[in-house]
Amino acid sequence: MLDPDISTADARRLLSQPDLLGGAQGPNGWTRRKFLQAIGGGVLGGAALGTFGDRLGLGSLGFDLSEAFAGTPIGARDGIVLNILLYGGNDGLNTVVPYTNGSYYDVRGPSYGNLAIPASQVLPLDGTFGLHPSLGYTKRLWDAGQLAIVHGVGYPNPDLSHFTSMAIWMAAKFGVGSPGTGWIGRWLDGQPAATADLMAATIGSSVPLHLLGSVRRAVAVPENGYNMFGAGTDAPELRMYNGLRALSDSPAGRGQWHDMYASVMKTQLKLAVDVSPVYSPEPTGDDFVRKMTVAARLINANLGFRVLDVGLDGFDTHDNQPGRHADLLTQLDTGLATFFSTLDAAFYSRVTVVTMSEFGRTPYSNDSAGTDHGTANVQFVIGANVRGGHYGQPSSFASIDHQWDRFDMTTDFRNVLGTVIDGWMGGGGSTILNGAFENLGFFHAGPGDPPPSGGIPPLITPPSSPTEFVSMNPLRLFDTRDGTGGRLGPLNAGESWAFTIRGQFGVPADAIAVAINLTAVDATTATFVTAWPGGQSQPMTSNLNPVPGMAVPNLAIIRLGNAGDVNFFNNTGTVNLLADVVGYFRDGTSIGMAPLAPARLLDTREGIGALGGGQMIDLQVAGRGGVSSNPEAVALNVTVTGPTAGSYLTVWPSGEPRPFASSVNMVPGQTVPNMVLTRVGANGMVSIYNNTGSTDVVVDVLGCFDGDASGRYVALSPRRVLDTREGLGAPLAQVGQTPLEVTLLGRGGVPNEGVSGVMLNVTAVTPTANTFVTVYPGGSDRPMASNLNVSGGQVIPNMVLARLGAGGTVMMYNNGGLIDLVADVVGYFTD
Amino acid sequence: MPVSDDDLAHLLRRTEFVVRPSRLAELKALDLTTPDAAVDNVMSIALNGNSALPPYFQSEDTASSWNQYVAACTFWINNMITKPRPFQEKMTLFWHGHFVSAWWDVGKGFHMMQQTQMYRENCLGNFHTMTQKMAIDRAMLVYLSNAENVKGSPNQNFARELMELFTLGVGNYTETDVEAAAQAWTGHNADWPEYAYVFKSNRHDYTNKTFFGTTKAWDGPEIIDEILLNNAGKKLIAARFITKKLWEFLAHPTPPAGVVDALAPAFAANMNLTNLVREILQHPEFYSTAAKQGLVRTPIEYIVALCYYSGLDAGDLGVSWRAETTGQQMYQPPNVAGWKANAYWLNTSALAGRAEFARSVTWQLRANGGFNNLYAMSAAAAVDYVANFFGIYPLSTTTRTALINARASEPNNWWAATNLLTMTMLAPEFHMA
Repeated sequence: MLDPDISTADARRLLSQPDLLGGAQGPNGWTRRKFLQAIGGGVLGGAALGTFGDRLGLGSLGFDLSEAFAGTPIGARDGIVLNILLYGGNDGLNTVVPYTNGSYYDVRGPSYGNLAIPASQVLPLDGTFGLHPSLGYTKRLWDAGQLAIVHGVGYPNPDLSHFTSMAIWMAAKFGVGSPGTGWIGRWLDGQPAATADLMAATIGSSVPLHLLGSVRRAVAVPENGYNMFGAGTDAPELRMYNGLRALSDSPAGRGQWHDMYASVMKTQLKLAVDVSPVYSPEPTGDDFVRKMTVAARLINANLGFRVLDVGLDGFDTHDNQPGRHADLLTQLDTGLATFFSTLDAAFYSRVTVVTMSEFGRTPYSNDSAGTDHGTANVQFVIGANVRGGHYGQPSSFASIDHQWDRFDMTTDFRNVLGTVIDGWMGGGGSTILNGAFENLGFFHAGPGDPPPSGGIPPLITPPSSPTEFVSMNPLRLFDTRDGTGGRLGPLNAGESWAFTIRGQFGVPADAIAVAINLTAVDATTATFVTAWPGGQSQPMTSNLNPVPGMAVPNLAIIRLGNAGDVNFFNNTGTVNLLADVVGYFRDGTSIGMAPLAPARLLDTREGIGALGGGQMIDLQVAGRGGVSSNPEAVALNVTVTGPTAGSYLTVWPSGEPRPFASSVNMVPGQTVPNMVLTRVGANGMVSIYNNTGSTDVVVDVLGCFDGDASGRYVALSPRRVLDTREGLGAPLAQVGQTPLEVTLLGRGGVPNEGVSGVMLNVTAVTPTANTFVTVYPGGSDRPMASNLNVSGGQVIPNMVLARLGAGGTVMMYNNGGLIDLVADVVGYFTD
Repeated sequence: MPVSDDDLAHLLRRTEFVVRPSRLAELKALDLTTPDAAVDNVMSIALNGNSALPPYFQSEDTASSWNQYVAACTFWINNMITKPRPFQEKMTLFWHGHFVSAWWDVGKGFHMMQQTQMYRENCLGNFHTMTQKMAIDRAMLVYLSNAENVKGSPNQNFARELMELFTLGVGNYTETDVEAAAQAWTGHNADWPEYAYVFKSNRHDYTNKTFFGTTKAWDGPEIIDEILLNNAGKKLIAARFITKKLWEFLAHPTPPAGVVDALAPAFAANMNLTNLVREILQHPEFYSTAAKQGLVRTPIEYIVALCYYSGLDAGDLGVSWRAETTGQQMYQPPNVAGWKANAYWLNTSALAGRAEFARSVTWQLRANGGFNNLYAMSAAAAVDYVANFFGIYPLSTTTRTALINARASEPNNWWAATNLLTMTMLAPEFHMA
């Protein structure tokens, strides 16, 4: 279905005059003449040129688009704007309700349609304004400090026609404007040609005016793209696509529309290849929610998009407004929640959401329990680097005493757009808007800058189903030092390497996630290594922080990509990786999981003494530290301390042959922890073996897998939820000896309820002293246990299975000095 | 101006969606020294006979409004394909996109069917008469809120669009006029629960209002009389507004200066749509290259063409769904301004929808060995054969070369015929009206 569209013909007719190609040379280096020649191939004569010019901005642009789809990832400091158009004229007065203002209850009271939202029902923001009760998620954005509400937004001499008003909003020019282009289109015109092709997309079937420039325009991407035409891969289909591309090889001499059709078809064939992956799995929910899902996935795919545009229709509530408006705002709210829950954490600090609507509605309702076309309105601006709060002057009721009185504007909408263009889209606002504007200052910082605090949007929707853990005897997947697994040679700087696991190494076809013990050795410089699901964009997370001279192990629990693969990335220098698979997660309910408060099961320093080379001990785990009497597997944190030689520990089910695998690698003198997932032997014990030299061993239990336990694991794509260096998820401050309480419920893809524990990769960053870090349930006493051991100046990660306290939080305790802490969530356990 | 075969094909595509060989033969037998006889022939919609709605559409399908909607779409597409004079359906489509109401907004689908039927019956009648009927049509009363427009706080929805989109165009009235018109239409409501038009005197505002500078106790229908009958200045503006829109719909969106202005005064004098449309279809500019290359097939026109040329059943092809995925949901214009033209339809999503429909039609044409005869033909012969099958004559050199190369590159197997069929349905020629 088409979006409501005030593009083209109407906007042209309604505004003053058509915009021709304009300047002598477009930003892509094409002169007007050359451009016309390319389109017309010399066939277009003088009269036809006029015709063509009238239609320019509509007709010509497929040619520019079809040749050079860049699909270039955006830069770390490139802002992304999601523009949400509320078509029909949203009733701002019932969206952001002045619920303590008597005048509101006069004009919307029982005498006038009874449209007022009772003070008891609004979601109060402060003592003055409250949100419509359908905007629960939006309220959470406000609470997170990420929602700016701009009041009294409009334009001078308001016109009450949908079409004139929408055209003015879309064109967004000061002064007498040429109506043929819109503000985003003109921004596109100014982008470098090499990158401009996939920079803006509208989710829908038509490209509205604000996305049309003089020489460029946005692409239209459907919300339903499953099995999209052009994305086939069979050889005969590919040959057909080639044939269709050739339809635009040269102008056919049948007029501009013929040629435009051919070129748009060619564009579609290219677009399908680029965007079809975002439709898997198929988006669900209402039309608008699906569009918001697609918008977020397009951003995650990092094809170069800087502007996404989504419309929600139906706000023209002339009658029966209450139910209709509530439905619409529910869709808006659900769409926002879906968007932010789908968005990859890597983009949190680079995305700003802006809502707009052609006008507000009459303060007085009509007698049909509706409202008529109004004027000034509210606008939302949302994002991690948006400074939450009120902007602009709220519209005054002072002049509202007649049925048809309408609010006076207090904020020109071009101030809002200009602030967005300059603050988030790289500047040029006054050029694009053709005049000076006032910067409203609702951005904390620029795109990609660390948000001053928080920075994570509230999240909902778990993206995958509960699973059960199947523990395996450790098995080596690869070792880049000797070519095991098919790769010989270290990962290079900036290299991403995909490795397929599903269907091999005993990991079956229905595996959803794998637990692998990942070790980095031979790093030539301090670097970090990230593992994430194949086919997805790289998240802003890390699993290992290798430095020269150390062998650093860490357990990684990673969702498998659609192709059953996992990506590994090395940031700088070169580094060898080796990995052992220790288990996998699949759909199923036979084996549950119970996260435990950490409890110490073994400390060889207090009793049996260091474990010698070639020695093995059996450790009773069943029935101890909260572990059930008949566990299937356990999650342990195993720490080696004071090793005398470069060596490794192997942990495996007692009574079974020792596998060739390492659970913890060590170098002399270093204290190294690692989380270990292992099956438990039939005797209720696990075996621990030290290869060479001697070392003390400390074992804490973190969780228990058991047929009777009810909890299930849900694997997520990794998301950063804490970084004290950037004020993400906690204040921007190093952590001392006061435990840091970190909220995990509702964050990083973890749902708001029904969660018992979270799988976190925690990294301890450059402490000022040798220390250890303990993660334990919020609100409980700190146990004698440790998750990370780290020396001054080191960066050490470890996987942590963290049971949540009653408030949905965990405590992070640092034993000495000051330290920065970083945490990435990779999954959670249900109750 | 003698009329060529090419002119006749153009006339048929614009008035009857496709060029039926039998129709082309009929027109060629006429006096072709001018277009007049051919135009009269395509406009003789009386030959369609009684077009009363089938009983199924006379009331609501309370069991499934969706089933009724799907049936309604199939019904209309079939009308476009099978009527002796499909121009009646083409004009009905115009009025549906002009005096807009929308199925899922109105709620009761059969009200939309009845509104469409009224447009069908009046499509070449008197514009003033039709506008008066439109104003009190049940679907319109609901869609533009006059059903609930009552004195005290009038609802401006209908009053505004009546002037802005239905008759005059923006800039030809003031806010005062909108307020007056809204008051004048108070009490012209719909009865519950049938939504039949009813005038409720106790809800009508009998006070004086000032409309176009005249102060009196205006009543709703008098507003339409004023615009289209009594006010000489306004009715000329309205005539020009409608003439331009019809011209853009039938001929092309960028008429040379003066063409519309020349046609408008005669229309203003009598509001006779038959006369106006005849003038447009007989106009030399209608047969210009600019006109012949000036319109893209709308999704509905594309669907009609695919159904007709393939010979497949519209219901089996799921035309209601195909109309939506190609961007033109039937009985459901995107907003009160209706649909637009050309570039409006040419975007990547909508073309993907067209391509997916073409692919679906291809599978059905290929079932049971259809088009296996293409294997034995040379590439050029196969291309020309399929183009002729889809009524494309002639292919442009660019397209023909591309199709021949593609056919030649394909091994001589099942795909050879399959891909050629799909590609021909997706050739630009097949998407031009």
